[in-house]
Amino acid sequence: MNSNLIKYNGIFCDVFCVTDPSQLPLLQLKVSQQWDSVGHIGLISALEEAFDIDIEPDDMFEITSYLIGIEVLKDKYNIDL
Amino acid sequence: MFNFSAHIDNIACVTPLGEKLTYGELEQRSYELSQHIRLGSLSFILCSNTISSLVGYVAATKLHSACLLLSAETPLDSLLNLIETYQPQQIWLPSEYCTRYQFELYTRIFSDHEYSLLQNNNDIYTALPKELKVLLTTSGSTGSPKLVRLSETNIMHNAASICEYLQIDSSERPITSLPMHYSYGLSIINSHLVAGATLLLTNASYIEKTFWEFAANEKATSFAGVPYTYEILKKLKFFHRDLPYLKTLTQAGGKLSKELIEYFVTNSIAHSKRFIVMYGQTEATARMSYVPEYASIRKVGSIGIPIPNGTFKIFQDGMEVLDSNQSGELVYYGTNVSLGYAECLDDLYLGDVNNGILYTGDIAYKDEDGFFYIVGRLKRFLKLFGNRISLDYTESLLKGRYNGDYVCVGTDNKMIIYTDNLQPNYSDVIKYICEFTHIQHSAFEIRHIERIPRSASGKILYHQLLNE
Repeated sequence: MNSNLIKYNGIFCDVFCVTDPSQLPLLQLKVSQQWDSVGHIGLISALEEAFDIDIEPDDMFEITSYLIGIEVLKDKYNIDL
Repeated sequence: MFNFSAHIDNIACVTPLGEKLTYGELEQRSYELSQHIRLGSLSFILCSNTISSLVGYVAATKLHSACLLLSAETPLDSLLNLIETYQPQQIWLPSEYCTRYQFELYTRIFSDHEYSLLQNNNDIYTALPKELKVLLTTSGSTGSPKLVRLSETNIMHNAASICEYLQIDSSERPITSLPMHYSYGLSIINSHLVAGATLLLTNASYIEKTFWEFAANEKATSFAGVPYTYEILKKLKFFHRDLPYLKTLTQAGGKLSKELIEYFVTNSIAHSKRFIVMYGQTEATARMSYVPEYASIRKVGSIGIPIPNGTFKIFQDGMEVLDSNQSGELVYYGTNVSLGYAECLDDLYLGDVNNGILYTGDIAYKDEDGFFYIVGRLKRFLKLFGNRISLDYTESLLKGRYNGDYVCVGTDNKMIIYTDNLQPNYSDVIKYICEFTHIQHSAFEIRHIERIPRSASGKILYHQLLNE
């Protein structure tokens, strides 16, 4: 696991109170507890800070699951995950 | 309660699926449902921003009957708890909910558009007072089923005042950005139904693309939010969105920071929109005051002036404060002041105990121009993300569950929990608080303290604890 992925996982665990990392791929906006509008903005802010990026509003809408988030950061923000 | 006869051909609501209902059709659908509701009885409605939920609300307020509005996502144990306390004759809920769970004392008697009506097998009940129409949970309070009792007069008069100060007419198209069971969200529905306007009903959230596509396609004219909604809107670069029809932004549900008010007021003016700050409580049906557009720049940070037909007075030590810039408890007078609370079934029969007077629990002063400003609170509670959370209640819950002493302080941004327990499982405690408040864990912080500061008589000295 590269250091960016460790960081990425850490953020998700932190923001959504997840203790078991194997549960991470199941996380989804509006489906998972804690991932509501407040949790979403908490997640976006944490990602922006950790990777030193500005996430565009359209991409904020795009990141609706743990897995899609990885793709968006890879494709649009050139983060090696 | 509602009389749609003046605008039966207007469109009452539309949904992202393209469903449309005229006021005539809304009347018809709610009439059919109301035929199954026992006269003078209580119904529970598990609300969502859908046509069926709206039909249920209109139906349950139509005849001599009352309804308790709850979230469609109410956890089963909370719902069963409320059912046991208030013994409703009917429950109108998403069909999926009653397929998933068994309601032993109820029978499903009617279904329509993904909602079902459950009826109590036991039809013995005492008819409710005629004036009682709607029961709402005190916002964010959890655990205790304390309800606010609202009358038809409360709802209709508040709706009329709102229509007047926001100039709402039948051309308006508000998008539902708040839940229907929340007094602020319900007030938008009420005021626009009275005006014969068109509700854009969606369960999508403003952090979803579909929400904004729906707003754009259906030419939404207004949007409502609580403080954190506007933090999110700023992050979403709201003013870059092409929403030429969206002319009104309203904010209530707690204090928005001065910087954000200024940001939204100035950007609204630049984009020929208006940003209206309002103040209210469920105990006053919804709204008590607003900052008129003409004063939005000069009076940043104010809760504004009373709504039409409402009055504010400030009291200190039982005496009315007449001078400006002197603070005291803010008291509201108006026909939208609720009948009172209910904590058990018998309380539903209490009648009007408030007599049009609401002690807001907020400390405020008035400036020379008659604009009011809130400076503090009498009671110990926080409004976290718009949800009212009692600090004392949280303390008692934590003490009952964990070892050691727990003391809660904080601001509307964050609750700080002090404990003398050296090794509490912090994440476990936070997880527990999140569960019973349904609020994000980022709103809570636990700190260890050697000894809780107390006075000689044992009273906790809250002011000695850092609240941020």
